[in-house]
Amino acid sequence: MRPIATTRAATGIATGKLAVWWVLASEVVIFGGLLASYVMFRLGHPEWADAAAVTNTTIGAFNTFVLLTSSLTAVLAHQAAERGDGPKAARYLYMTILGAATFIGVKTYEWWYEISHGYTITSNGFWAFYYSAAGLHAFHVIAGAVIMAFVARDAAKNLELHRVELIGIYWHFVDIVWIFLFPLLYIAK
Amino acid sequence: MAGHSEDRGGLLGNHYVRIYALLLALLAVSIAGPLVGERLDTEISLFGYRIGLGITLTLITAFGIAIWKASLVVKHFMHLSIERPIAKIFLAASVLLLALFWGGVAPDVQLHDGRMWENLAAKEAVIRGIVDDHSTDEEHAGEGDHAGDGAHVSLVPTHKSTDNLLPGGYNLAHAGFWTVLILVAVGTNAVAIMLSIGVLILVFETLSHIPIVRRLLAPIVGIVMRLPGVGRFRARLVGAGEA
Repeated sequence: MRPIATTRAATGIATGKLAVWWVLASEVVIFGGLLASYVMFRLGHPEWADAAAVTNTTIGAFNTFVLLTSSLTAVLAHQAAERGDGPKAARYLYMTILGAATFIGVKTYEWWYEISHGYTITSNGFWAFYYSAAGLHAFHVIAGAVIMAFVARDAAKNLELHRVELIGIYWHFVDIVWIFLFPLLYIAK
Repeated sequence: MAGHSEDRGGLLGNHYVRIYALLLALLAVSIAGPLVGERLDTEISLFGYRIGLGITLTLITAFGIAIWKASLVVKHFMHLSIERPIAKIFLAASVLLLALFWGGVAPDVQLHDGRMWENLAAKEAVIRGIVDDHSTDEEHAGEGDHAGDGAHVSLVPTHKSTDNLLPGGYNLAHAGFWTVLILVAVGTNAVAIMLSIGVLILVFETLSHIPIVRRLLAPIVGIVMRLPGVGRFRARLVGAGEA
């Protein structure tokens, strides 16, 4: 019997992929609600502009570059998996994990710098949103990287290659969230 | 689905690499645009409105390009455009829920003055924040710090008259409020019902892979599939590309 995750369901999508889209639909509400709340408060509180001016645009831009690059390697892994080349897919997934590690490393430095200068989550509304949104996103990056390591380990042995696409879809969503976080937290001063 | 993409001329000829290059170019524009926008203080008049070129450029390059970048990732990396309708329905339901949330909450959060109320705590926070931020960069005033002296009067009724409401007065405002509330209630339940149906489909699919359950369910499935419209709905949901 074929595994349930790879068989086509009544919906026309393999069950595993349907589950991933389902997760992402709920993530849209989670991140969307958070970002929508930020925008609403930001429009009502012009004094947040001074706090927003502190964030480092160069670091934010670099992390955007890192995540976009990791999205490329994730989709190249998917492409390799579609062609049945598990080891190549695994190599691309490991590159994606490297991107995730770089992102978290840069984020750690950035937060260390800001916290050491007195900008903490309790400083004001802006910093509360900043640490909540970026922290929730960073948690998703870490979770994605861990899952990706398991998928890559199997893919290297040409096992469960369908999972490469599933983790890729999740990873691209994490990238999209950052695409919106970047202008909100780093550019709109 | 990644196999649909052409891969000519090695990595540089790869469709995904071209999309990546476009994303990087857009990233550069989204950084440069606001930098230029900050230095532009020109205003133009359009249909009687004064529009600042700087802020317009910033908004377009920062947020307009973010939407463009996200759509590129969704279309070319996540392949949503060639995905089955059910995935799009899931996402559309979430976005709709989000829009309802925004529409319902935004007037109370973005504005600090309503027709019948004013948010004094928020107003005070804005004033204190601006004063504190300009007096010293080391002090960070926030709403949380002022909860004790302002939160308990955050929403205070004012002496504003109901006479200045839209034609129809107070009743019209109530009619509008309850209509929106009912729409939100129906919409929220619709999402819940849809997700419940999704769960049932998943459970059914999982169980149907167990041979003995499949044999037991076969008569029931036969009856359900013969119900008017069910077969047609399933065919539409699955799409013509079903193997």
